[in-house]
Amino acid sequence: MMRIPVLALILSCTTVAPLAAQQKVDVRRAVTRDVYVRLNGAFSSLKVRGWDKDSLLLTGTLPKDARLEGGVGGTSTAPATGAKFYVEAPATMNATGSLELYVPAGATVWAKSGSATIDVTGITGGLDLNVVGGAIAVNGNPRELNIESMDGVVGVVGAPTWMRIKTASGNIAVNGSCTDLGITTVSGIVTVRDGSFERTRIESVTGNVTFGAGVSRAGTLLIDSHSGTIELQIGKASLDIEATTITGSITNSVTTRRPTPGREGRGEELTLSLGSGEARATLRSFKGNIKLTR
Amino acid sequence: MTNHLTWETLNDLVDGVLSAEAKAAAEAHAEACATCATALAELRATVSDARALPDRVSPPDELWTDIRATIEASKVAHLPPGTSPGAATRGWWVTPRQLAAAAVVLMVATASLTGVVMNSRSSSTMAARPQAVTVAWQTSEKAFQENVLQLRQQLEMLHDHLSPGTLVKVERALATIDLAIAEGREALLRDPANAALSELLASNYRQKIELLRRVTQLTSS
Repeated sequence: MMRIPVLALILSCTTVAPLAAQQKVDVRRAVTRDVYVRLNGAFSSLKVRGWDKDSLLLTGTLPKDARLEGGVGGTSTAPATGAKFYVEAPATMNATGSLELYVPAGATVWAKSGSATIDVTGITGGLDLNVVGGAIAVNGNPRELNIESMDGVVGVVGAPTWMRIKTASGNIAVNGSCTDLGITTVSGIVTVRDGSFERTRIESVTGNVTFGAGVSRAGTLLIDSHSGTIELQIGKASLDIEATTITGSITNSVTTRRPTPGREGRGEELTLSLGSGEARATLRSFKGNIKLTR
Repeated sequence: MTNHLTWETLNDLVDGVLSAEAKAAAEAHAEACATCATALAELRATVSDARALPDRVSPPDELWTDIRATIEASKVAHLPPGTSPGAATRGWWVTPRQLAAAAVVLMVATASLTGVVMNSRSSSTMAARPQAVTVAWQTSEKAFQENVLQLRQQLEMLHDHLSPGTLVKVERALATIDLAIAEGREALLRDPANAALSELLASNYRQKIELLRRVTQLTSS
């Protein structure tokens, strides 16, 4: 377990210079390539950039009455392995702080705010991002990507190895590839496109789900929705497909096979094998419709 | 009898990959040799049992998220007392105990739901026993409701720390899930052996637990 000596915290490197109605943030420090950075509190905009340097840079502006707490851990002579920042603002103040965080690409970044726009590029380590509202955009190939949002929209472009995205009503768009993808939403619209996915599980209550990407050989795709429409854009995929609705309908525009009535004459079922069927897709909806298209 | 069948030959025989000639010879030997006959029977039983197992048992995502959160929390720079007074007054720091409690709640919930799903899977081949399935659901639902109640109580305690706007969003999402659960539950009571229905209902249960967990963690960091 990695612990950072408390007494060795270097807080003096945190400067907050007053500007007119704002204050400037400027924190610089040598860090390890896999530094762990934690940042949360009242900010409205955060840009995270992975760079090819062994240093951390936190810049930006905060409202005059806000405070930046925390700092970079470790000793002054060795690169720091961890950092923690917290933006404290009066409860009556809306979060308006705007920050930019530059870290080594292999860093792990944990960020959390109420309503904020978080934009991340170039991180290959881990990302754990959490907002209530606003938006989260990630570009790149983080090893692990965990995103939680209430109604903030989420967009990911890249190829994380492991990815979990959870929203209440925020829409989710994933473009790229992933070995292990899990998406959960209550009413957000989910769109997955482009690359190849090995293990994918998507669950929605009322949100529509469109999956227009490939499923890796021997991979699995599972989509569950209560009342959202599920659209599987198959392309040239080789898939065994099992689709079931409890009361909804199934439309197959891929082959001539027609769905059969479901249990007790309600809903529909369709089993389809395309190509050599080395991958498997299971689509289930309670009262939403399921569409299979090219 | 000496010169027993080798382990590889026994496996190949069970897997059906021996040539016709080799297969005949191996079977003839097994008929005459009690040792090899026993080994062959055990191997076939093992293969049969293995085939009867579910083809996938996925660990719940939430469990890994919580474990990872616990690990990552221990890697954070711990500030000396007084350097972050706001953190203490506003309760932004989640304690290991809180994390552990959340993980336990989630594990219990997941175990309950796994029970529901596994029961529903086996029920698809036991349609003649719908009453048993209903009882299993009732048991699992009770555990689920207890977990929801615990998380609801936590949410009540954190009520003042959440903005009114956030609370509205949360209640709206919970109402959507509750409606879906009610519809799914009603349908399952009519068709208790419907495996797909069980899976969908379990998914909605998970959504509710997960949403409540996330909300209770909104005020922590």
